[in-house]
Amino acid sequence: MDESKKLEKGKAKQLSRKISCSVFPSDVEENILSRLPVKSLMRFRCVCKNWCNLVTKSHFIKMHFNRSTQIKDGSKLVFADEGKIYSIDVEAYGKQYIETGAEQKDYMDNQCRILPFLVDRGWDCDDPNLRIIGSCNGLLCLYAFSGLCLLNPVTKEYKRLPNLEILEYSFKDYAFGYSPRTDEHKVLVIIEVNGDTDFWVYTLGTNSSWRLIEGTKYKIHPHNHPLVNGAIHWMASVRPSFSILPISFDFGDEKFRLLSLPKSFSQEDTNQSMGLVESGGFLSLCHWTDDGNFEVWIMMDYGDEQSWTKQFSVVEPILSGLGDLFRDFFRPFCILKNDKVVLYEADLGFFILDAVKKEIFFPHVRPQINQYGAEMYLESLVSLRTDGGVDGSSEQERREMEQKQEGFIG
Amino acid sequence: MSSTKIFLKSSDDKTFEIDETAARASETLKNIIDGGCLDGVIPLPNVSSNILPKVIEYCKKHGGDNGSSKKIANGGVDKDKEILPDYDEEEDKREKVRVDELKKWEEEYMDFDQQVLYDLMLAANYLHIKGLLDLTVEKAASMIRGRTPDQIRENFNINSDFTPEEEEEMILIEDEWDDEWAFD
Repeated sequence: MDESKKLEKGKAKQLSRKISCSVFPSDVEENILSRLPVKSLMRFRCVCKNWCNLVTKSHFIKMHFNRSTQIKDGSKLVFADEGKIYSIDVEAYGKQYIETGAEQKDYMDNQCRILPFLVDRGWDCDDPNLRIIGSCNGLLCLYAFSGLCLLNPVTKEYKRLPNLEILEYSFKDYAFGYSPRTDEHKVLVIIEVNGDTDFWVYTLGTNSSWRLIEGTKYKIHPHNHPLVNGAIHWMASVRPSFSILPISFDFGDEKFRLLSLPKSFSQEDTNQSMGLVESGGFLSLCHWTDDGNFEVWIMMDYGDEQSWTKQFSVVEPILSGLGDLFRDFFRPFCILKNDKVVLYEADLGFFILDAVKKEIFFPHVRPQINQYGAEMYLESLVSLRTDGGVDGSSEQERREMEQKQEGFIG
Repeated sequence: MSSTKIFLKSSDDKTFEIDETAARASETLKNIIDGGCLDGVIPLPNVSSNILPKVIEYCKKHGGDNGSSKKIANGGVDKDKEILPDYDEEEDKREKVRVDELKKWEEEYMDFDQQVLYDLMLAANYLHIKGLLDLTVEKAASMIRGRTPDQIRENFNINSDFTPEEEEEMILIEDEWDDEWAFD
């Protein structure tokens, strides 16, 4: 654009600025925009100033987030493969695999959207060992280049976490979560140092560093760990009986707590195949019964052991279509709305058991991912700049965020 | 069921009649009625006589609707439901028919041009009719999805109010996200 044209355009803008940017009252406008996908909102920042500023305002971020979680039809399975992050829309699963390797690769690259990965943010090459270790409120926690980082793949905000200041250790497990009570995102790492198990916590925010916290003596099984009610949940072995019980880590008060199983479960049951999953914001327990049925239990009132309620069960013949694989190898991964269970099996990968239609659905591709390298993910505008971002922030923070916006866009 | 009649006056001084039960679909009207400040006619200076009948039509359909469709809308945990023989299929079928009928009605009701959509949206906002606001706002959102920023500005009469410097920056954003768009 040459200078004179630009000037003219600028003048026209000056004049038109007297007219309000939009024909809608602001609450109606925000209501409309809160229904758009995050990617559309990021793109439409150039429509007018108001729309540009809106995506960084915490009240709008929260409004948009709440609406997306209500609808919850945008949930995707994300996973990393050779340094790239892919996402699969699990609701779009069909009954057939794409069989050949070449077709699969083609499908992956074209249909499974590759989340933008940020070579220009201080990483000069893709790390083939890139792993997704947590997903919460639209933020991903990644392990790459021997360190941890947080990323909002849609707004492209990215933050590298400081390294633990310990020389020799090995990671046992990680968890990434959010506490609505304290409005904080935190990362928990469990590491082994000289035979001891240590628990370290990092709180997202300014000038934050790793803190050693009091852990738990129970042995945590690093299976799928659902985030419910501001706490992450595992199964744990409890001595001396070696029974298996759910254990939670609350991201608010940073305490571990044992939870109970449904009353009807006997001691023998506890040694059977069980898995914790999240279902519509509730803690759920998947259970393979002795006679080969698959049951899903839900803790209706969080923390109250009386409130375990059987949600549904699927009888064995439906599952027998999967072949003679031993049922314990199927790990529940999460429960979608309408009683669809996402399961994982080493050979089959991720697939969906639809308890209403009583059918089994497969993704179109069978990527080489294991159950620990995948997470459920819902796009959001949630920012890494504030401590929380889902439960709102102060007016001052908001103004600061707006000032920082240039960097945010860059 | 017989019901008290309420009279509403549009911005251009035309009077319309509505049953009290229907009027209660509007939070604003409900507060006026319950507040006992009802003095013959309720003036609605923000709603014209073109739009008011449309609003009344919606209220008639939804007045006295105390959320029996919530169960479906929630779609979440429904602890009574089990995939077992004792599950009440008849009740489920009736509910489905009701919801299908309502959807069909909404589809026909929402068949109008963009100007009516704006006015109806503003009326629903002013009168606090949540269902109608959701319906109209959702339609407006669907008109924005998948459009280019230019089309949106034109369609919704929005003026780009960036300074020339900001404009430059915005062009970069637009280009960047146009590339992203290719993946969808």
